[in-house]
Amino acid sequence: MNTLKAILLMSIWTSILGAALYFFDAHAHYRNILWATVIGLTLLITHMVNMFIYFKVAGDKPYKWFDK
Amino acid sequence: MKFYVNARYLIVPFMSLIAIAGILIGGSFAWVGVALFGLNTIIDTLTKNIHLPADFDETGESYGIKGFQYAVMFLMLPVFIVLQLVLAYRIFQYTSLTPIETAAFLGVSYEVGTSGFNLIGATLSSGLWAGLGIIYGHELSHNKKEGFLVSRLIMALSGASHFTYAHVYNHHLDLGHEDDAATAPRGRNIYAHAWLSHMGQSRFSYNLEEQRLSKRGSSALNFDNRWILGYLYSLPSIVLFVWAGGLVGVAALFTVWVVANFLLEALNFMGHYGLIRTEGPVEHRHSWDNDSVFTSWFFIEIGRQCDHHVRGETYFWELDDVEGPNYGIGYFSLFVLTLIPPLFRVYVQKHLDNWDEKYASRDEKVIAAQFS
Repeated sequence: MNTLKAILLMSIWTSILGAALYFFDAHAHYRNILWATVIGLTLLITHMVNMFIYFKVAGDKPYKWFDK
Repeated sequence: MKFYVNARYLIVPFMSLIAIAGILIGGSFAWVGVALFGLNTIIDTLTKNIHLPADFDETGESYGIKGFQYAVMFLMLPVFIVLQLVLAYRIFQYTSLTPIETAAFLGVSYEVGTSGFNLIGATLSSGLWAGLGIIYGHELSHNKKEGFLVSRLIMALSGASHFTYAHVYNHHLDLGHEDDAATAPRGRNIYAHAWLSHMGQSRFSYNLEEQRLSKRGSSALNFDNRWILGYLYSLPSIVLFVWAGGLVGVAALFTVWVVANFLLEALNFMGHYGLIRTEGPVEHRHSWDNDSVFTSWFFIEIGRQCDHHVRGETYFWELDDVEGPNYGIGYFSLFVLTLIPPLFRVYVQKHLDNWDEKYASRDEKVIAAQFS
């Protein structure tokens, strides 16, 4: 259940960042190296925050071999 | 003998260059990397019964030349960078709507521009060979000097720089236990394992850094945080693919990372599936060996897991058969089986039963019984 909750939160966070990039017309400017760097950094931070969300929300449970 | 022992480990560098050439030549050659993967599976299956010991001279010295093998491993970093550059070049052409036509360079004809179909081939080829190249990231993670950084950089090309710390300080210390995300318990399939192991190793690496920085009174949100630094090593790849193709570029890099990490986790899956360790030191019985000849040479002896986990800092060319648990087939053949979980479970059951009977300690048998 916590894993599903984590994946849902990760999806929402990714969608928000995706929408923000679209809103700022990132898809029209990616060939500009400055834009590409900012977009790349935004995507990397999105990925790292996604990992962090998973660590905190899913917790230890997915790694336990048996239900205690 | 010396030449033979050292040259036999050059299959991946050689085939990686062929995969790169295929993407550069373009057209249907973009699929060469995928075709080579299929060819390797056939060769591995045909040679599954050939098992060779490590080669030593009459004084017991290995024929392996350390300087040469390390030079090759270090050189694989630029090779994998070039692999990403050529893929980015094809994505750039695709998104720039470059007309598809034939040209020639030094007498070799190649295709300018690319179709969507062949771009998929180039992306899959890149992902597969970036994933197979992870064997060098693995080997160098056991090096305490500059090799460790090279390992981090190689892994960063696949967005998995956290692996280097997690592999050495988690996988090798907690092997066969639920604390090691890279050990797959019985019943888990390769797809679930790929996700859990990747996330679990990154989590370990994050926690390691958080604790280290906390002891120094620093926040985890810090450029000294090697988990953050590891992801930043991936930034040049992301910027390159964003610049080359926008959304198409991001989709291609995402595919490369997924394929490469899936292969990495498949190796972890095959190396330890279902094995259990309760306490005490890691022993040969806590890993599966895959040491058929093609697997040994192709994967630079990474299949000699039993010896590797007991002598973690031993050079790969010195690892030997220690008569530990052995699937009896190579990694390529076994990988195909793992892709079909019900088939894999049937295949592996007899090996697990044998392990429970011949290798497991009393406490390990108790845990094994809980799985059934």
